[in-house]
Amino acid sequence: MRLAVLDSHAPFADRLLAGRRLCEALREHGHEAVHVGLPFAVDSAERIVDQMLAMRLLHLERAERAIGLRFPAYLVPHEHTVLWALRTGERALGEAGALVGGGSIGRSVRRSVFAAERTRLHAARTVYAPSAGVATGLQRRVGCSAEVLHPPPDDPGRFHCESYANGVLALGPSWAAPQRERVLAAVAQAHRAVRVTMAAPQAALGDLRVLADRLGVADRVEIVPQPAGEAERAQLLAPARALFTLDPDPDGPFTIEAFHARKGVLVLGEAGDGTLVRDGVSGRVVSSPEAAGAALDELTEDAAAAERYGAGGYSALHDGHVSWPSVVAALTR
Amino acid sequence: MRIAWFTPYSTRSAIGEFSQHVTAALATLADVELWTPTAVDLRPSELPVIQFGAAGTEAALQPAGYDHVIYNIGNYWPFHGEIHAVMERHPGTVILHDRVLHHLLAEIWRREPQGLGTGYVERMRTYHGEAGARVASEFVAGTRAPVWESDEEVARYPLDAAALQGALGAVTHSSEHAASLRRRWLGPVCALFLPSYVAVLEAAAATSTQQPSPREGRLQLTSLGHVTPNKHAERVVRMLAEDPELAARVTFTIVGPYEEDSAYVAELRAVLESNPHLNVELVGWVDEQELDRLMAATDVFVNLRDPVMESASASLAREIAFGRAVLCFDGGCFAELPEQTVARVPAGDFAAAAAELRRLVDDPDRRLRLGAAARRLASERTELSYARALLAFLERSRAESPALALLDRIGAELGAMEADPRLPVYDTIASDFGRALEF
Repeated sequence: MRLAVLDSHAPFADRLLAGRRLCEALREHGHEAVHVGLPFAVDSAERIVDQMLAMRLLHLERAERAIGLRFPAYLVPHEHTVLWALRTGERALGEAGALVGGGSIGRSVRRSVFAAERTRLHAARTVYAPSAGVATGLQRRVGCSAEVLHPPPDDPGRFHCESYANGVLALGPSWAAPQRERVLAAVAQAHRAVRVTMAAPQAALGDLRVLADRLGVADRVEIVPQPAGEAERAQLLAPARALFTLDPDPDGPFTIEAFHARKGVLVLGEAGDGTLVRDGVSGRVVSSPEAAGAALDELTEDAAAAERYGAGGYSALHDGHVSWPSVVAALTR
Repeated sequence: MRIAWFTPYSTRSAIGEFSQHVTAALATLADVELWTPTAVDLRPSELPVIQFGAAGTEAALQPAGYDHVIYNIGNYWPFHGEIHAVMERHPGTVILHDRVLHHLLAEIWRREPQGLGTGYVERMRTYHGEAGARVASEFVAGTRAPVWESDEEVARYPLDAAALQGALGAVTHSSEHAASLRRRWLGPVCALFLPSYVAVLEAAAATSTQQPSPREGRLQLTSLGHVTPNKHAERVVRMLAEDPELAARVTFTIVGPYEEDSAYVAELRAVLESNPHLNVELVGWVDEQELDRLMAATDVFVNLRDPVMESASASLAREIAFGRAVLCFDGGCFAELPEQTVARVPAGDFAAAAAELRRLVDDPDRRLRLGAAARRLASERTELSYARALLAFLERSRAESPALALLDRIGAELGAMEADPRLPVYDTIASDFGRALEF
């Protein structure tokens, strides 16, 4: 099948790994695939609609099917489109943050984003979401049912388990600032033996170290720069006891990478749909810093439990068919 | 070149008459086929006449391979509703015969499944801003009378640009209307004069003498056209009632169809009944032969329109062909006639109109001078010169049609996105297309 993979990126910033890797996987399975990387830069809320319009006016020639990955590229019209909404309009607005704001123009832009997304998603042949959280958001926001199709890492093989010797690794998207503060609060509730390594963007390191000091956990939390890519994350995960995910989406890519490295995952918040992180099977799901502190204690004191959760996570990947062949099969079905 | 010409073609339609004469001239320059929803009482034509209904028009129109499709649109649903429906599906060039199209569109929208509800409000907002949306909302809520019941209000909210959705070009019969449309619609717009038909010029020449013979010693005043409030026949009657000396010297004949049950006609009849001593006749619709006879017998045509709701005045084009003085207001297409071809007074100033009427009655030389100048103008404005100008415009607008189609696509996309009109994307698009579609 001739396939066009529609992807959006901020020029000179995004590397579009998922799109490129998907194309490779499609080619490995005998398809012709082109990666269509379309620029999308949010430097002004008012201009988001201009960029959406630009996408709507494009014509995709010769492709038998379009696979839409990220907003707003997946707005490009094509008669046969399958969407795998790795970045939704809601997420793009979240990234734009204060730029969009809550004023009347901000509300107008939001309304347009959701209206365009609603039209596009309902016209698509099938819609997949990368996690249960995203699927729920699409259902709530645009009334569209989406099947969950988890994205595997670019190279699942590079994630491995060396040992469970190090402390718990706290890792997530660079923008997850509130979650980092909650990790520090959880450590403050845990025993003195608990050790956590937390990654954060360079600009946030200083403030987080000050906060750790104020909470009295500076000697138990090592705050390191955010890893630049998959290889660096794999290195950090390999000796870790477990992952304390900072991703608000518990079934997001950080969890999947951890499971590939046979690490259990600690979630402070709500569980996903239960296919990946299950409390007591592939990790711990808790709802308060106090409970997270207790879970950190358990992981620190009980290495066997940490190993058991890691094995549970690795099995969940297989049970949930989290692999590139499964992705290719779904998107070309 | 093949042209499909959509028009009402009834003998009772002035636009049908326009189409009859213009297509005959156009047929000397191109292959023309007439498409009409009219089933009975058709005007004669040497050209192929295709009677269409709502169904099957696409099938017939698509493969026909016309180079241009022209839609004659006026503000009367029975004549233009079906033509508008085809126009929405097959873009073409629109000849706008009226500057007010509110009645036509309101009737079309009222017949949609959702009726005149929020859709009407949103359309009024699109074409006439927040003020339009407010009056539409109030009507939908039942707290005000419909806009179309007031001449002043429909003139304020004409919805003429709404009738051009998807059009490839627009022809008006008034420069001022064209200029107004250009400010509100980005497609190509051109103003052409409404022709005085050669047949009418010939009939006028055959039936007119230098001066009509006075009937019982009185001068003949005549008003032509559908009897509606904006033609102010009742004000002319009052004018005569207030000036017995003038009234004694004239007969005033009101010619044109009217609805017996309309409030305005009731008012006119009441004024006539309260002034039985005046020589005033309300004759209704007459056939063309009788019309020619009446016009030839006329000394002064009284054509006082306010507000002007038509793009041009068919009666004016006919009146000037007869070489008689025309008394009119200085507004709309009337204001665009050359100096000294008609007797013009400020729009809405009935005192000035009465004074000018007395002057015309008193001064036969002035009537002669104005009539001769009007006749010269009419003889220059024939249907053949109109057809040539129209073809030139069609060629120009064809060059713009790809850009216009893109603009429509953009409009549809922004509509689907519910994009806020305050967003800068609109300014960017207007600026880009303003340069591309500079007419």
